Amino acid sequence: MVAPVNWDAIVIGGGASGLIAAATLAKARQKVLLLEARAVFGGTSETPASGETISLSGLDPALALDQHVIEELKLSLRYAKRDLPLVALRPEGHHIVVGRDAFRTARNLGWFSARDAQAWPRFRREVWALARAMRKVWWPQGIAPIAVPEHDAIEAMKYAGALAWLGRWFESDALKAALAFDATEDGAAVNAPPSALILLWRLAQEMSGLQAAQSIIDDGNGGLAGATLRAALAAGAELRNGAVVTKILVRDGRASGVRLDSGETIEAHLVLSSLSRSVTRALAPTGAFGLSRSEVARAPSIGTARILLSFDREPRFGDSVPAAARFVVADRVDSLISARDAALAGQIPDELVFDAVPVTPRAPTAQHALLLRIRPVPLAPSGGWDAARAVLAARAVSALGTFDRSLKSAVVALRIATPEDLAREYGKGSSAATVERLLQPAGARIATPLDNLLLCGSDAEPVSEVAGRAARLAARRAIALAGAARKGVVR
Amino acid sequence: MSALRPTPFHLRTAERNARNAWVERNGFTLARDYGDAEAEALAARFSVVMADISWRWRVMLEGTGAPDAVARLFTKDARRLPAGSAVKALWLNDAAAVRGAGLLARLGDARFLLAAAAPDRDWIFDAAARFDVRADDSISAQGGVALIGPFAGQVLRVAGLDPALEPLAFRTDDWRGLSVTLSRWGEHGGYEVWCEAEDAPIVWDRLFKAGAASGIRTAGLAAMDLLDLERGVARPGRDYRPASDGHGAVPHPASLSLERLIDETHLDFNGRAAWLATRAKVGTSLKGLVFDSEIPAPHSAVMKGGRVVGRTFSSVYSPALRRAIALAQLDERAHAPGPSLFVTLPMDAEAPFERHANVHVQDLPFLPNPDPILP
Repeated sequence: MVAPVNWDAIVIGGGASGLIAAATLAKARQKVLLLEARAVFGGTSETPASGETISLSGLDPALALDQHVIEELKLSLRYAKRDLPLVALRPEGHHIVVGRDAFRTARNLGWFSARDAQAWPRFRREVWALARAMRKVWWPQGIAPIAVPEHDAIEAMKYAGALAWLGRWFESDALKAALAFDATEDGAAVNAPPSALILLWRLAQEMSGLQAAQSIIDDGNGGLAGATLRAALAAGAELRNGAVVTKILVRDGRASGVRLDSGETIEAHLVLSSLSRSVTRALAPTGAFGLSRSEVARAPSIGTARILLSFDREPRFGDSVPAAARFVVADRVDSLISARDAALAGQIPDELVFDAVPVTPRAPTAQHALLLRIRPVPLAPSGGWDAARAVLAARAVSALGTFDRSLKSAVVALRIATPEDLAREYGKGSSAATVERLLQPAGARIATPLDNLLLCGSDAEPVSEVAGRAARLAARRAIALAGAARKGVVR
Repeated sequence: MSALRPTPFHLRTAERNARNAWVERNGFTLARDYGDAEAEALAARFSVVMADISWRWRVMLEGTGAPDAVARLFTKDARRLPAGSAVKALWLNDAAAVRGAGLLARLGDARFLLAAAAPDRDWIFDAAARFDVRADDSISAQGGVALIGPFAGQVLRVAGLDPALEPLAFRTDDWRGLSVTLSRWGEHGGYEVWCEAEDAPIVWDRLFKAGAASGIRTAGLAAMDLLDLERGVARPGRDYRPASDGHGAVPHPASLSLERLIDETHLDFNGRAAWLATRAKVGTSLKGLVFDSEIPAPHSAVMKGGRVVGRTFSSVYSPALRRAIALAQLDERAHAPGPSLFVTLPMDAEAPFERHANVHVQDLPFLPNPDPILP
């Protein structure tokens, strides 16, 4: 069945990014149809309910949501916690607490190293300023030149691993390991580029008005997924679930619509894909994205596993640490490196590296819960995930037990989401972290070789986080293309 | 470094290569000349020459996806070609830079042959695999000779092959027990005879015997290159370095004046979007240069006043024009009024000092191909 072209735009994927793109388009009076393969909208931002197969990544703290998106779409987000301090849990009991107050943090660091305590306020001031300057590149608000000293600093960071770069500021292994954990997104290695740039990117973000904050969105009303879904519906976007796109149709060198697994063909003037570049490429006809083999940098075969641990009492890691914090377990710099080596070799690392954030408990009998994000783990462990799940869970609980000895007996529920679960549920295939991806202009990240096929998902962000910037930019570009087409401008 | 390979005609070319002058191309050992390259090139204009062209890279593309694969790969739509005909086209990378130029012949519904002056195995084979098309360049082991000159058709007729064939056409004949393919794919208006490697000496002998009355002579690679240059044909590898990655933007087809090999109405070829976006922005083009000198200056800067306004590619002494000539990539400033263009000639034992020669820009080709003088 071939329907006539009656859609201005089709958005593939009903995750937060796809919903943001659809809402932005619909607000500009575009006739937009959003297609989601699953039964529910929200993608990986979906709020998990008890018992569902789910990625658990909907519970992740938000760190990069674009303020423009929140304001334009009037997303009614409530924050359970605006700014989670980072607490590096230490086996000796002296935990590192990195909070917003630079001088309190410096005092805390003094226990480990006088030099690091001295360096911290300057690090906060100079590196955070550099990160703000980089928003010109990472936040698509027009092209502004980067000043020469900042340009030189970025040039140096392009070739640096996070450890080497942190090593220029700090000497203590514990602090470097804790900070470098955040540089391991998208399969990056802490001792190789572009992990230094990933750290800087994270520091450039703003949540709830605070630079480099990580916030917990209150999911009482559906969290981010619920807010974006309501925005898309309110704007007038049409949403279809259970619609699996099997092909992006291309005619005369332009995307002309999509074909669904039901055989239905839907035509549109523009197609926006919130899927990754490689998955979008696979949906397009062979060669439509060019014939070069190097277009999509292949990510290493490692990923993130999430464990939701529910307790009948509050975890107690010490009197000196706040209860609501992001707890990082990365003992030494070597822990990060050897965990990656083990994961690349298909093994669950002996010494897991992870962070843990307090979340609303899901289990009926639980009073408290922690979401553990263990990174890196192999995408496909030798022996399969069925066997590896138990190993992973045991090692994670045991690692937390180092800091709260009776915590193991307080566990009342445990749920694991492996990278395999994520791929099965959401078909993820994110691009690797590369210097090119981090530094290319925003317009290039959302563009494809087909003029009217744009990327709008988290894969089109410099780092694969839900920010909504790519979605907003792609939608605005689509609106401009539609306007040009109406005026008869041939592109 | 891989060992040089002899062509299937090596036994015969070695007999005639009295000066033992050999050169390499595409991994094959080829006679540079058979005594006098300039005389060989002149013979192609006034009588007939036979040249070993087995060095050309040939790859067979076969499979049900072959029409879609060639439509995607090449800048002309070979899907529309009827079987038994051929088209000349480019293949571009994703940024519309030239990766190669060649001739694409349709042998059957799902069977195509690409013949090119330089191989691009990785790109073609990788692209073919995406369309489930089998690519096979073992056919490059077959032999091929070119007959060029006004008497080329006459030689074929005497040899017992019907020369009635349109340009770019080809056909396979049973030639007194040998299966040969006769084609007219070359740039110089002649014929090519393709045969199995083991039949090569017989093919060579038959053609040579048939050409005796027409004064046939062998032509080496130097004479063939000279004819290419007079015809204004820039070759990858010899004149320019083709793009070797997926995203490099040079060499641009317009900078090599290869626009005629791109069919913009063909909507599917790789690099089309980049070509459309960049075709008007290229400031350089390929032109011919005729020197006020007999000394060629290959790969030299072309100067105007104190500025470099282009560079030469291959450059040779043309016996037909009795001047040194060169293909050159010139930017727009070269065509503006002003002082005349010049190049610096290479120093040699007779003139161990820097000399300039004025050069004159000419549209290509320098000379037309020799016409057959007999029907």
